[in-house]
Amino acid sequence: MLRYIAKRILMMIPVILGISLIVFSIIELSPGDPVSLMLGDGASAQAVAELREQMGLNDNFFVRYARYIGHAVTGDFGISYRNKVQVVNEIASRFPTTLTLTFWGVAISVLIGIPVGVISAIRQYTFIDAASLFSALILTSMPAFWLGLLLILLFSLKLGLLPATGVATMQHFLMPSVTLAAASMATIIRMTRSTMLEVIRQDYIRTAKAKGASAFRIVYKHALRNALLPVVTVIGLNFGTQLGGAIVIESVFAMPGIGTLMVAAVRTKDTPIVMAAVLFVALLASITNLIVDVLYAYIDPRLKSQFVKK
Amino acid sequence: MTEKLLEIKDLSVIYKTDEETVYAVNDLNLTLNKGETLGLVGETGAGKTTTALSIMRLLPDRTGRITRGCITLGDLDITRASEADMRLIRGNGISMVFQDPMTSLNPILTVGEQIAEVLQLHRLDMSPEQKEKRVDEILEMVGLPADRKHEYPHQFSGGMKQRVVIAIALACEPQLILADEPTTALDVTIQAQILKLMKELKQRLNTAMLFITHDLGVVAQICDRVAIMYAGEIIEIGTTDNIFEGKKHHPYTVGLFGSIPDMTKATRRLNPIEGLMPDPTAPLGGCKFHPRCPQCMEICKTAKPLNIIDGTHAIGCHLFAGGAGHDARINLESTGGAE
Amino acid sequence: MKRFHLIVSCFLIVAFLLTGCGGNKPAADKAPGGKKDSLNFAILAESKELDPQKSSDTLTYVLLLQVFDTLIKQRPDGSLVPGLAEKWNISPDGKEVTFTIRKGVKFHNGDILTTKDVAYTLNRAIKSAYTSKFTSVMQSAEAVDDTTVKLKLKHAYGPILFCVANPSLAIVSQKAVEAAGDNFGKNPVGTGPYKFVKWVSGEKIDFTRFDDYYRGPAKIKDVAFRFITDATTAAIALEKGEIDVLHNPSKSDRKAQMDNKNLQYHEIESAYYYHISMNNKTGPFADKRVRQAVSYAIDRQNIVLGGLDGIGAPDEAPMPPSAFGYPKDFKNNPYDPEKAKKLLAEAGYPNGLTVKFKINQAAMYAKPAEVIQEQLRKVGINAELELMERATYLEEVTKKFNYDISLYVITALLPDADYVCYTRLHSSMLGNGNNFTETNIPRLDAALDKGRTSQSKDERYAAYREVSEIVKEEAPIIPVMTAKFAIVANKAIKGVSSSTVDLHEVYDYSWE
Ligand SMILES: Nc1ncnc2c1ncn2[C@@H]1O[C@H](COP(=O)(O)OP(=O)(O)O)[C@@H](O)[C@H]1O
Ligand code: SF4
Ligand SMILES: [Mg+2]
Repeated sequence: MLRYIAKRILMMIPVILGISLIVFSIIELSPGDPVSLMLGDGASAQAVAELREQMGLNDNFFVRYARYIGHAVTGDFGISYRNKVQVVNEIASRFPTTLTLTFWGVAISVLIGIPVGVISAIRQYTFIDAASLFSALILTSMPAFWLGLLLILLFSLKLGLLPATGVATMQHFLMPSVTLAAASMATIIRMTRSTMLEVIRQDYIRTAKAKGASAFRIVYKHALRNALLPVVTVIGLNFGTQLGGAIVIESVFAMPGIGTLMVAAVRTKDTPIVMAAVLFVALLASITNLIVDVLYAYIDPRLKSQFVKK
Repeated sequence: MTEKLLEIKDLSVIYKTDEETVYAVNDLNLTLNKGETLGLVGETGAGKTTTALSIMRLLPDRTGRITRGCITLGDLDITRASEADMRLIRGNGISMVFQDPMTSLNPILTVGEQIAEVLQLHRLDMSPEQKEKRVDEILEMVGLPADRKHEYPHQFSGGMKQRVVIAIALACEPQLILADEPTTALDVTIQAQILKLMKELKQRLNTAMLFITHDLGVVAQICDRVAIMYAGEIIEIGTTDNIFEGKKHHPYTVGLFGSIPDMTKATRRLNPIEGLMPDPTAPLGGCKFHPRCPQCMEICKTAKPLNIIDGTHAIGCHLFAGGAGHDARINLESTGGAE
Repeated sequence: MKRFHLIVSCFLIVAFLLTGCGGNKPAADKAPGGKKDSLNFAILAESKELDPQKSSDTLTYVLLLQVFDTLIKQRPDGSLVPGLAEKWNISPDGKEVTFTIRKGVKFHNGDILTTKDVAYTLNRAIKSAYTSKFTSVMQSAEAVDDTTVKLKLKHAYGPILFCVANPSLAIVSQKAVEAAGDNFGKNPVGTGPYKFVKWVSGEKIDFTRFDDYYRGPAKIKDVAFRFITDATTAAIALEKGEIDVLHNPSKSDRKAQMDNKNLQYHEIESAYYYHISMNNKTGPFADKRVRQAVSYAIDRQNIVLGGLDGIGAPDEAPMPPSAFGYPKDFKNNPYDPEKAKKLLAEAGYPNGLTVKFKINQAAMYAKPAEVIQEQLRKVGINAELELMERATYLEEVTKKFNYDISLYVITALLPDADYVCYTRLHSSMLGNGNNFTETNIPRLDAALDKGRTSQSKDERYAAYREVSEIVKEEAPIIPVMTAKFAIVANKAIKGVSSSTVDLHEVYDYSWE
């Protein structure tokens, strides 16, 4: 198992390098000059040229990329063009917000999505099933910013129960997390429902019934865990999407996360920030996928024994 | 010796889906005595599994339904028992061994956990240690080393899995085992081993068994009595001797055995009989076999045949009209019993 | 089963840790007297670092004003009053400005402001690439004695006092800058009414009252500038009281905010103006008659109505009306589609022509551009709209001149005609995002130079009237309109006002 994990971590290196090259090329080769954007209207050509030189932007693309990677492997991700702060510090200061948001987003979508999916499956074709499928449909088709604003209007403005903006307390995270959870919740409901429907048709469920197990026990002990295997994968894969969704939600709820940082940085062509943020998110997504795979192997003895044999 | 254990009276089961209604079992009558093994033989679709599931009351929730008749196990009417009572019966009073060992075990629980589960459900008096001991014991009994209880189903071969399934079925020492084609999915050598095991265990524990199969060779080896099933009905029933050595047979049974109904050279597989089983969604009047019967008569198309040949052997065919008990239903109380 | 419980426990532990992170409650915002003593000021983007000499955008200016002071203070109405300089004097040749520095002014770190700090700041601004647009005429500054600072110019420059009043030239503490190095912008030290407390990246910057402020302590103690990038969220937060002041609210909330009895809404014509730019050098618009045709084809009033929902005003001269030098009652070519068609026919396009109309995709350009496109279509110019992402637009259009016609704005960061006219129209500013029409008209250059260097107000006014006349005649660009900008605040705050220069000092505010 450890060897497998080590191998997977090694495999991340080329992936991250590849992503870094792609992102670097996209930012650097897309039109727009960060220096002009920094200096704004009315800056003289001379001023622009001077600052470009100072920032080493006149070097050849490959030189700059190599320099960037050279520094990055030593942990130096440079200084933001726009804010002149250490990129690492900036990412570190934004990370907890995004992580908390994503964590609760995933948690809520799982804690609501899985039970609803299960109930929907074991009560297939009933009103409950139809209602949960219908709400899943609504949740997926509702854009996050819209749902976010609806929640703010209702819970902040009309009812005055929750704060609309900021991150000071856990209450601040409630609406954003629910908004973030909404979209993936729909996927989880449907996924759980369909795998559950498949699992409860399996022979081993009939075996469990023949043993005299109760309906609850059958769902909890025999069906659910088998049904969850594919759902866990989906949750892992969804994690990347969740981080993406966080961008919109952070903006709607005025939260200082990686998402808002990235948007502002792309707009101003703040390459060091964009690079670091993307790499960070990519790394996070890779690690999450690894964790999910390990977790999967842990839950599914068929996979686990594969590793043990090696 | 011939104490009645299970009695099925006029059982009719349908599967009702949005598109159609399948009449799977029609007015079936059957008796099983304590310690007895009854073979239930028939082509695929005859209604064998449906009969077994009805006894367990495990027909599919929304579609399967018992429309008529009753099943009694001792004093208990299974068709009217509460779900809670049924849970106490399942795995405890009656166990079931399913056809495909590959899929009958939960892939994410160790075999030990799966065997122990029956004990947890029914042997509330046992301490955890006792349960563990019982699991070891039962594993040894079905011929598996006890220390393999920590392994998962995928680490076992098909035959070993079926041993595990049998271990689950026997763990609480039930009065009755329903074995639904327990060897069909296994290859020939393994089949023989499992069969031998079941025969041994059955004798050792004195458990009654409904042994469902379409393999006549198997029937001859293990059964005390044999019932031949066709289109949801039992068309011939008798002791193993009656079926394998008797002179008179239902034309369908004759077809099954092919031209040589010889116990020693019995064909291993049911002979294909020309034609198909009647459409189960459109119940047929008269003898269900008449469209395929080479000896079909006019009466066969309208009247249902019910005939007893002798005390232990009954055949539902107009060819044998005029025998004893012309109007009686196939004799269920036949006492071919023990060997 | 045990595994399952393990996973659940891990989940709970992580949840607990994350929850633990965010327990701090916002501090109470009431002063002992019961009056509110804090203020939340929302801006729609995160500002850049708070280093005056590394900033040149109006958003950052809003924050700089709280922490720093300029030698000359520009009031919200645009007027100039003494700031850190008690008085100033321009030499007769216009090439030297002498400032008398106020005594006893303290920096937030307790140091006393010296003439050395002032000279250091001015020289720092002269060297900085960010601020060169305000300091390009400046030669150097020197501290003459304890009270006097002399600023030498390369040549006389009309709007020099506006330059000095610009927040980019706000005075910094030499000691603090040298100690902090590149981090000064994240730990700014000034003489302003508010001290910097902390910057929560992406969320807010906290300030607190500087009790030794030379004009006396501010009335409100704690001020947070919150970054709320979603305008709708910001509007709701304002209505809910989570924020007290919202800078530059969305136009779509205007009516509701004006009608809201708990809010005060102030708007004023902005310091930026919309103009149509054309490629004067290549393509159909190299022909003056085609450019003139465009100037007769557009109906400004309708563009204001359709493009800005009426929240703005037509602008006929090539500068915003709030800028010094704006020629009052000046009229550009009138709306005359027939004349436009005639001019096009003369230029060889009797059946009209098709051109590329490239704009930044932001809504502030897209809507007016569509109205202009329709007006051009009526005279036979088929302008194919192409919407571009901002950075692409700046590169393609303003730097590579790869366009026929465009719509853009320029902000008078100095409220003076020179700033906008010179940048857009003088031949020395060709390229690099400034004069991207490649306008090169010698008599226009002459008028611009005169306006730039003259010492006499009247002469300067005359020069900009002439600039306007030449722009009307040659139509290198076509002025279209100015929008309005707004500030909306809790009704209970006194001292909030709209500002032609978009400068707002929380120092002026107090709770009722
Ligand atoms: N769940 C079901 N839904 C509908 N029809 C079914 C279902 N299960 C079995 N049947 C039908 O009932 C009849 C009897 O099936 P079954 O009892 O499985 O026969 P056997 O076990 O003898 O092969 C067949 O016609 C079969 O198609
Ligand atoms: S009853 Fe008639 S049709 Fe049926 S099996 Fe007998 S002879 Fe054939
Ligand atoms: Mg079957």
